Amino acid sequence: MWFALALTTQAAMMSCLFFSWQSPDHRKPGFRGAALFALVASLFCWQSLAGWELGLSYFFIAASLMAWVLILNRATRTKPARSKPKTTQALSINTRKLAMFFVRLVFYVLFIGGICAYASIAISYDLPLGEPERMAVATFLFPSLWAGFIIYSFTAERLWRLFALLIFLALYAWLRLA
Amino acid sequence: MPEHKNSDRPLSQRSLDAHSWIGLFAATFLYLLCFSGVLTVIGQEMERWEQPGIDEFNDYSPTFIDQAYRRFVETHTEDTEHIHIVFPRDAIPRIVVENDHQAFFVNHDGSLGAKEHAPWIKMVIDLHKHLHLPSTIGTLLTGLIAALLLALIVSGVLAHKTMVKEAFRLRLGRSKLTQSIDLHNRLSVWGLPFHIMIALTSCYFGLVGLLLTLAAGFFHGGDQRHMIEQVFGSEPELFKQAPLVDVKASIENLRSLKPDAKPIFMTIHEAGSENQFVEFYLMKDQRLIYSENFRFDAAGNFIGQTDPDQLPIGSQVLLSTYRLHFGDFAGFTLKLLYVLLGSALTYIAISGVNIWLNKRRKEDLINILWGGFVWALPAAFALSFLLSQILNVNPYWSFWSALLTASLAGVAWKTHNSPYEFSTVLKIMTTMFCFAAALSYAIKYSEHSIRGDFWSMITVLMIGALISFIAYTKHVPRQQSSTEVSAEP
Repeated sequence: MWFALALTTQAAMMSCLFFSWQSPDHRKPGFRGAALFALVASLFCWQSLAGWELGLSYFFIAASLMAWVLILNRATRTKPARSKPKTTQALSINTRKLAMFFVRLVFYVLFIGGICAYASIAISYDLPLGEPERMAVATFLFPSLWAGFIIYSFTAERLWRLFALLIFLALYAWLRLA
Repeated sequence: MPEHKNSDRPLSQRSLDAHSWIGLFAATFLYLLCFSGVLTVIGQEMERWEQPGIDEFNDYSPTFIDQAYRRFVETHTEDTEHIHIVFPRDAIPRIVVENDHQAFFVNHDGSLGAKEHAPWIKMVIDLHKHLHLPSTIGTLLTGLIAALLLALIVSGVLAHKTMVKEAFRLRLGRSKLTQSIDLHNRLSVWGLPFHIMIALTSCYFGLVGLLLTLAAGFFHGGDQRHMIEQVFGSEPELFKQAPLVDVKASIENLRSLKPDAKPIFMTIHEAGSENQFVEFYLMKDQRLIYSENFRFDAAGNFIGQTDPDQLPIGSQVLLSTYRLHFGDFAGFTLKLLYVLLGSALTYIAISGVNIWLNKRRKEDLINILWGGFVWALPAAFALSFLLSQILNVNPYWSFWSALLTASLAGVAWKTHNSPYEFSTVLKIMTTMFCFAAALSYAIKYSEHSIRGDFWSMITVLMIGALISFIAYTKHVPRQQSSTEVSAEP
């Protein structure tokens, strides 16, 4: 019974989100409120069915798949657009770009990755936690920091800020771990 | 280093640069890992189907298991640290006895049966774990790719400024590029929790070894074992244990402690030594944590239990990653949903590069190599399975030979001036390999044709053949594809 209820409330949540997306602005809050209510009901049902850990997993998987019923249902099929010809340069490759690509890669992997690995260990051991929690924090902090810095290296408006942050982290890790 | 001449560009545009750059580097590895990951999700089932005709049963008595263990120890006297007995489960309703070197099935009459032999799926699983590189380097590399996947997810979200506005939009038929962009974005956005979970759990598998080494070096004088014991628990220290374990008594005692116990497997640690002990791994209801463990000495006396609810939160989180990553917590139906979501991630990896290639105003070597590689992978998987079945060819060799040859052959094909794209040829070849593999498998194991495992493998191969054939029927002739539209995102 919980399974049927969970699926029904989740379908209701997705439908409300869809109608909110489709409807004019003045109707959106109503649908969003209903979606929120259905979300809470759905989470409660999934939790009752399988506990929090499995219930949350089911909730996200079901949401990912249910959305496609709505997407495919309203998919528009239009005529092919006009095409523009492309120049063909078969078997040619820009070696300078390729070299720069690998220089960047080494920078990201060795330099940023190295600093983040040491820094995440240093940060996790500064937290008032037990050994298993420190390792769990370090395990998820390391890739998050690393990914964050790679993105920041592209999005930073001033490049020196990136280096300042990296130097700060490196110094902190060095002082803490030395 | 990235160039920052145009700092007045919007964040979404700069994030798109990051997304493109990271995607271009990671796409090849991501495609390899995602495709092999989809197969690894149903790896246990595939292992069963690759070797049909083995005795399958779910009921066993403690005496039956004890006899199988004693027969195995008498026959296989080689030095080993562990002996495992795998109990029947839904995925594989077979009993296996194994040491660190080899594994044998147990027949219905209690005798030792065929040697476990599923080389192809083991090759696929190894590819997913460490890309067939030496274990340490390969695992680290997969960890790095997982971190890049995380960066791709975050940069993708930052770059997609119309995420809500286009949440349910899918334009089909307008142009190949528009369709690819819509599918790429919709699959990415609606699968976001799944993708983040896959990235984070992969980071754990790939990077935890490095972090344990670093932390042990800085805070525990390089003593990794002490570190691991603190995080994952320590082993009991026993002395003067009997040379043979009383498996019967330990199963009976386990059943008296937990009457509804359905162990996944049991391990005899320090097998044959005077320190040996037995550990049973039981799945815990409504928990993602891998197992609840019960330990017994060699005489079958209860030593202790590891209750997941009593473990520190950090250990619980780390020990929950396996089931979450591979979808091994709610039967075959959930695994099929994981296959669907994993296939979506595979498509996202491919379509990301396709979109980048399509947006360029030119075609060069990258187009040819990527186009070849995308269809070379399924063709290599199918061919390696076929050769493994017919000629017992080592699937590691056949897979990499086929993959490299097919990926590079596209360059030679281009100079040949054929009316067909090379990928079209690979699609036909994949269809043929899958079909031939199904046929050869059917002939080889025809004596087991009344069994479910026989037909399951044939179904998987025919699905592979069907998908590649459908992809072939939707191919675009070369003249048309070379003038493909370059539409707006």
